Amino acid sequence: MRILYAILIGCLFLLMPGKEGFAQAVGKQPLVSVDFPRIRIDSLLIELEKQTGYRFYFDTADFDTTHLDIHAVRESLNKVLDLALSGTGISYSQDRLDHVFVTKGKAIRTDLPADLFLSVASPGRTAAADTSKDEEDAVGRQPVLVDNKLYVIGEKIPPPLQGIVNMAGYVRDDKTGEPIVGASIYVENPRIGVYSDQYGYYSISLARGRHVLNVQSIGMRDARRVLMVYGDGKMNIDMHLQVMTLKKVIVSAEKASNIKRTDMGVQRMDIKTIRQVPVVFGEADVLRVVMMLPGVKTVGDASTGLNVRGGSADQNLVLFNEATIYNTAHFFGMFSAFNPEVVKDVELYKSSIPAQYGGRLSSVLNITSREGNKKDLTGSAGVGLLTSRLNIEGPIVKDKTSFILGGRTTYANWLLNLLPDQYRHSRASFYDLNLDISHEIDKKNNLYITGYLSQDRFNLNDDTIYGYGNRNVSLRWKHNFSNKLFSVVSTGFDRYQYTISSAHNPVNAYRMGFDINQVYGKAHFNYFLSASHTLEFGLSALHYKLHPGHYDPGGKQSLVAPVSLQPEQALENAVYLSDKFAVTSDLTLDAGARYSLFDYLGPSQVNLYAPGLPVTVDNQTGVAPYAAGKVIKTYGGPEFRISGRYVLTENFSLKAGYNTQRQYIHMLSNTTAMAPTDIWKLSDPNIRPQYGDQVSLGLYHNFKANTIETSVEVYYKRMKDYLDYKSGAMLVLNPHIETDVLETRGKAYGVELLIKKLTGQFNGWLSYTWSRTLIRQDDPNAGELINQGNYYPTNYDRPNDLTFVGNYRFNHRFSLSLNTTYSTGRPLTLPIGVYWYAGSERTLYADRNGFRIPDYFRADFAMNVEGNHRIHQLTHNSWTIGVYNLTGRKNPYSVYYVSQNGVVNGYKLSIFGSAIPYVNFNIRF
Amino acid sequence: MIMIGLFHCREVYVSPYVPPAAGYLVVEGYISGNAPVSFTLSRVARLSADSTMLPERGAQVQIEGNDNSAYPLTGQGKGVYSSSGMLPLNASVQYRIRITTGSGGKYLSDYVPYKVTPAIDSINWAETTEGVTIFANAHDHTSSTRYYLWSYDEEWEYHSAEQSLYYYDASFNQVLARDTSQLIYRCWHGGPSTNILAFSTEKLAQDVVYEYPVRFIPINSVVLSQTYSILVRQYAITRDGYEFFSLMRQNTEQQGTIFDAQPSQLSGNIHSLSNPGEIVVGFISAGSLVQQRIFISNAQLPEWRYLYLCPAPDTSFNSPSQFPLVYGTSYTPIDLNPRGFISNYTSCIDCRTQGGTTTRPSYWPN
Repeated sequence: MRILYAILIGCLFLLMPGKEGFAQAVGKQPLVSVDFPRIRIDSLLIELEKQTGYRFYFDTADFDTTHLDIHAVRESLNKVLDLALSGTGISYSQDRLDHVFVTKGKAIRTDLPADLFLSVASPGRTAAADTSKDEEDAVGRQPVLVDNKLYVIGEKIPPPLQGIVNMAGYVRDDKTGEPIVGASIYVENPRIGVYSDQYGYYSISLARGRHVLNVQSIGMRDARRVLMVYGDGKMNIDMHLQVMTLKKVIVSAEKASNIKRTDMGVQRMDIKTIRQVPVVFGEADVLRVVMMLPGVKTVGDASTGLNVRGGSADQNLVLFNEATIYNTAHFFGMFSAFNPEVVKDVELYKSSIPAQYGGRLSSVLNITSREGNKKDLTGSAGVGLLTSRLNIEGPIVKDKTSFILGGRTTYANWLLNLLPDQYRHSRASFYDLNLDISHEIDKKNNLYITGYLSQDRFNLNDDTIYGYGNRNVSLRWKHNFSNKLFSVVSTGFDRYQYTISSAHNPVNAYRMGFDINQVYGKAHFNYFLSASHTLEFGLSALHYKLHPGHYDPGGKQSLVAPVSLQPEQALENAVYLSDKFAVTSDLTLDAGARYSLFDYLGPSQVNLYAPGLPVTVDNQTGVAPYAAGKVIKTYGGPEFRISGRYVLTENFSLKAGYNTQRQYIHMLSNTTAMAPTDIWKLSDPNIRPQYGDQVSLGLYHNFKANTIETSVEVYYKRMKDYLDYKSGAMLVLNPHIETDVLETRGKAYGVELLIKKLTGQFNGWLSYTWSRTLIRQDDPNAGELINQGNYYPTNYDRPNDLTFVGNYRFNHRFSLSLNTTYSTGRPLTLPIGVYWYAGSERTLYADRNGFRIPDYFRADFAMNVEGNHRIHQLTHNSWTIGVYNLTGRKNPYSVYYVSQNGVVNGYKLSIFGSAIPYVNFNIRF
Repeated sequence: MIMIGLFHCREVYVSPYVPPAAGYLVVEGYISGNAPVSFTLSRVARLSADSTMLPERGAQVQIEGNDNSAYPLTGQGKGVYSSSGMLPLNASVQYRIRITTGSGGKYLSDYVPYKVTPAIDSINWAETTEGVTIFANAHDHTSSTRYYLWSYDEEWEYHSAEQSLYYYDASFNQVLARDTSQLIYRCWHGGPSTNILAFSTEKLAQDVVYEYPVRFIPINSVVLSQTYSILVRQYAITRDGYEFFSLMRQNTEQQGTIFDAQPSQLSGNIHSLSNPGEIVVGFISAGSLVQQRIFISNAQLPEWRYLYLCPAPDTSFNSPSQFPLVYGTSYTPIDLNPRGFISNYTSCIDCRTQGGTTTRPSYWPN
């Protein structure tokens, strides 16, 4: 502690990183030689002082007890210092008088910035005109925290500066090169702000002149750029990870963007938040955490099917890097199909669904995987009680092309052996694989290739073996036409398939299969028309091919007659346009329209039914054949997506929205949870598409400098032609499935309250939802009235839902997480009486869903222990130790009655019957 | 493993809500031409732990053919209505049932075709480490049956752990020798099937039923400790009948796993004429009945070990003053040795305590 930092603060009012200052200030370099296998930083500095004769200023309190391993022979001083201090958070700078200042965090600026008074402009920075390549190169990749350097955008023109110009670029993590999504880029006064999109891209319109551009993103250190804007230009911004050792957390207005965003009913979560939430067996699980959000419910512990605002599980468009995932469950629905090592973040749209998405009634769940590290080859691995995970990522071409490869597999059969008798002979296994490649072709073109493969295989205590899997590959090409216009063209192939086989009885042995295949192409354009208008438009085409079932002999002795239902094919096209219109700084409207068109295509033999009579086998009048490619039936119509936001005060806003949706593919299920035997069915001449609309209203208020967000959202939703099954419906291998389903009308309404704290030692959220979901089938012509044609609750109608998710960080290596959730039990069809038949007492069922199973309550607890935070070590380890279902409550998954040995017995089935401890070990390398 | 004992998934559930007795009519029976026709009428009862069958007495029941034939059935008590002998039914005629209950409710079924049931090819069985499974095999070379229903009556002989040659006569406070009619060593027990046994060959290229499992007996069960007999009855039913029984099985027997179909409303082919919306439980079918009986002897199962949970017999008391205390309650004398009577728990001596009777069925071998 030779000199106090405070003295310097007084005379130096600007801060700059060390390298920059060093490079500008120093002409020649003394050479030094060091050879220390283990030396403390302060000892090294004293040694360097001796060798160079320079005077070093530092505070030993800034240095931890890290020992360095450093060897250098006749290297320049700055090279040795760079080597020694890189990654330690310690900076240095040197002035013309051979003084070296070593400081924690930002380096001391030893001279005034060259551009401070706007008069000096080094040719390299200003020569660029408009979007020319030179200019991009000059400002393309700026080092971090070049906060007060002046950036000149566009070709310098003489004053007066007038008019609006545009600036665009990418926001990236300086360490891994990954894009930062949802970063807020804004200038103050007049307040203009935009957010980076899923590629980290932003585009902002500014008045010519001097601006201070602020860039903020959760988990990243705030960045600032001083701009002199003369014309259109590009600027990429690299952000620095918020170093954990910083005690002080600066929270700013834009981080809590819920007030300012136009979209409502949107929840975004990054994988860091997801990892904090304790889940069963310690498997960080994207969908389990989404289920903790207001307005999202599920039927029970053994389901990953989401019921968003009263929608059924098949009304969610689950996109994984643009690829549609039809079955999101692994292992009886206890795990979700997404490997947490690969996932970057999750967005759930509950009400304002962007116009570019369509085809599902309830929600869009957009799961994005990470781009591989563009700088270094790294990886991670995790070992848990049930699964292990491994992922590797790194550059293929440094800073240009990267890959990330992740895999996960299970060894869970030991768990099944512990289950009660009826599961003891069960077996289950699964795996999934992800491969993502991102490639920067040039400054204007980026290419993304993603592949996903998952497979499950299980049997439930008998010899019938079930297998299902997703296969997805997608290719996305992002092209920037100009600062204002970019496009994303994507194409891909999705497949979901399942097989069921049994070989126990050689004569009846069979293999059954079902699959959905879809090929899609999509062109999306984003046009930043002006400061007040951002247009999004595009078109998409999706071709479906379903094989609704084939049933084949399962061996040489099998007498099974092969049956194959005719394949179904259809084309779903859509065009859309939306405009985000900033009417005033307080009022923003986002209006979109989408027109979707669905053609059911031949070849097909379409069943014809007598008009005006119930659709039953008896009323079938014939079959109409259609040739290949012939359009058999067309459905379509406009969909509207409108939302608006009005800012009442700095931290209080009001939003409203209305949207309509059409869905052309239906899942048919008569089981409670999404089962691997559920089939999907395209709309056809006998089955209409589903239609839904929703109106919603929300109030958003932030407190305590935006560290606490609160919101109230109410919604009312209508659904038409949602399919329910007839009593005793046969859904598998049914060539006239329209006779076994019913078109129902539904309504859902509710209110969602959320209090959320995003930052600080304590973070988490508390949500309460009250909601109802009711459907009715009151058309006597449909063949069967359900519950006398009255409204009845759906399987997932759980009116009250209270959830708390919290994390408390004691220090940087230790944190505790707790979540608790309470909800009303789901509806249940209880017997109305018993009768004797076929030698046994049996239960009689009448009205559907007239009762409820007991309420659900669960509390989970986890401790997250990080290894030490030294950056330079071979591996970084962390442990998660937790208890799922802390209170050991036997939450019923179902209540059922079964006739056994002649008498009826009632049972309550719980998936997790006690507290479940777990431990998970993760390693990064 | 630390996880042992953590998963107690299933526990008994008693609904806090007991719906009122629905009282709907339940009709069960098969219109057969080669055996007396018998129908059982009952009422839907309340769901509670001590529910008992509510027989429907005093009804008028009649089988009608679409050739205008009519055959009234007569009440036998306990809700059973049957014909006195075989009815002269005709395979080319369709039949239905007409019911008028004592309270005046009128019910009529749909007409059902008379199905000729193919013969049972064989009843066979196989032993695995888990137990013995008994199978039915059948075929119809004309492929016109396709939908099969089975039921069975089973009976098994079993023995108590010890043969008792004496008994305690409380009225005289004496231990007396048994005569052969008083032996309580050999018992027979049994009953009807309690599961719905229905199968369809519609997915097969030929109308062949190969090893349809009708009964599973867990390893070392008392059922096969001596001799076992099963009489399997086979019925040909219609597709609608098969769907009815499949749904009844799904609703009442196939519940409790994660992916089970939810129970749903069961509609049969009997309707109320007085109140068209009323639920009537039951599906009637018509056809010929075929049956086959097999025996399985414990000697055919060398590994089968039924374990008696009984202590070794003990010498007990000679003094008549102790008889009431001992033999009057839980002990039964077995034999006499020089020191007195030896005895054991009554449950180990009296086979009737396990539910059977000492009445030997007429068809029983040896």
